[in-house]
Amino acid sequence: MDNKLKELLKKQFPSIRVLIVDDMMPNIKNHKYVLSEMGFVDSNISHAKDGLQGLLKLTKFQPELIITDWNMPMTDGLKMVQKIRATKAFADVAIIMITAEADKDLEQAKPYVQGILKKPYTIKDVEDQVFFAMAKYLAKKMQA
Amino acid sequence: MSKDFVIRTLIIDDADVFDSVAAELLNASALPRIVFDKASSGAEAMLQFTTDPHQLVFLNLELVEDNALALLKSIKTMSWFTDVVAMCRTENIQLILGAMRNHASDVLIPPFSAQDLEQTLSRFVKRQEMYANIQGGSQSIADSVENRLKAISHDTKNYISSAGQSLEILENEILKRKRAHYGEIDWEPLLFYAKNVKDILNFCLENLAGQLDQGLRQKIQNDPLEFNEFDIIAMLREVCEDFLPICSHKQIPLALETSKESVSYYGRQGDIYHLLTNLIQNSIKYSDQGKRIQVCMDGPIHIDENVGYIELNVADSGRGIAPDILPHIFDKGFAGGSTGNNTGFGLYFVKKVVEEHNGEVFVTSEPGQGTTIQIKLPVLL
Repeated sequence: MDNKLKELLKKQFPSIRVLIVDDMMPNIKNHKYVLSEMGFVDSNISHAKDGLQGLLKLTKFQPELIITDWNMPMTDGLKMVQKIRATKAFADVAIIMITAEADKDLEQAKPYVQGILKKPYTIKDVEDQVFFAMAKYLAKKMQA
Repeated sequence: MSKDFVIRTLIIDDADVFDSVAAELLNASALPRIVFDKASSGAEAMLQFTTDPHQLVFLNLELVEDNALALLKSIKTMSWFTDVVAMCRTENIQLILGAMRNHASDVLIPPFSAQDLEQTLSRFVKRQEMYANIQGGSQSIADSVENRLKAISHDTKNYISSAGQSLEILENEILKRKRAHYGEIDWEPLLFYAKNVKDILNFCLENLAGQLDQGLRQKIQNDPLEFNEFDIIAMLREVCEDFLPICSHKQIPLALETSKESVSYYGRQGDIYHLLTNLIQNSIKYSDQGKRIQVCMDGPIHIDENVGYIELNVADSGRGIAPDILPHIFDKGFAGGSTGNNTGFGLYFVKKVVEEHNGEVFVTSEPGQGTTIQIKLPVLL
């Protein structure tokens, strides 16, 4: 992605609300670090420990970007994004799915998410996915 | 089964029917070595059992504060291949029959001799061998080993990836400081993420080691920690029915009201069963003769398009809880100081299970008027 476009996107990041859904606290802390390095604001970042808690936070927190793990207890990431996409108010929210699953499973998630991160990944991989998903999301928002 | 095989045993007894002398006699016998855990109440037993199910349970059917039959059912729901030996005096033939109907494997009538115990144990060993044959078969072993290996491989990727990212962050932070030529180094973030890496590695140790352990014990088919779908109303009805004999004995009417005939719920079946048992048992325990207990289950009530919740109210008109104690009733080990048999694990267990299911628990109480415990469990719609 072009650096100029990245700079433009970064200007929007402080006002974007992000929800991180992961059952491992260390992962949440890592994502928070990467996001705040990119310009997102800590007070606009919330987290949930599984898909059901993610869905419970959805209406109240109104996230614009969701970074979610796939394999979680109670409700997994795939079930959660399917529910989110079926809700009109959240049909356009940007979603990045993280997984350690084999390739064949990824096809199941593709229709519902803007980006997929395969484990293990680097900070740059996360940044690239976030830029890409946010570009798509903000372009759509501006059109509307 | 070889002599160096260890049998993990749980003794649930509030009156020392099965005392330490018997335990010593058993350990001296020619049968496999036995490791004992002890619990003096149902809640304490469940807490020990859910962490790591035992192979053999000695259960005193005449527990004063707990419904031993409900406990037996709970144990068999969570781990079918656990053998439960019921201990009961002949006077309580009804309880013995109830235990046999609920799949107790054996009965011991006190006073019993070392020889009786030895016979009970040899029958247990034979049954375990039989179970192993049922569960065994080279194909199912191969399948479960494969499943377990898959899980280990998935988790290894997960943890190592996470640890790798934390280290990358650490590196980033160090580089930033190098570039800025800091006169005085700020160690805090470095220490913070170093700790994070440590935490991840701890996760790795705990979970992978735990899984390997489970894999070796061939518990895959029967993992009580798995979430599954079940009818929560049917379960509640069953729990209430289990308590009817005690309620009629204490002359406490128990009324159940539900807004639906059945509600499908996804959760840990054994834990939810014990949660319901615990709540109703508590109400009965603190109600005097003639007081009434009302159990209501409502819902699912919509929160939004995707999520709703089931609301459970257990209301009694019993003794109530003093306002200064009320904020502490869910604390671990808080016994309320009311009776000697209270272990302080019951409501702690309730709260823990509710939180693990993303739910909330509320309590309102008026001394002398009664207590209402309300639980909200979210469900997917």
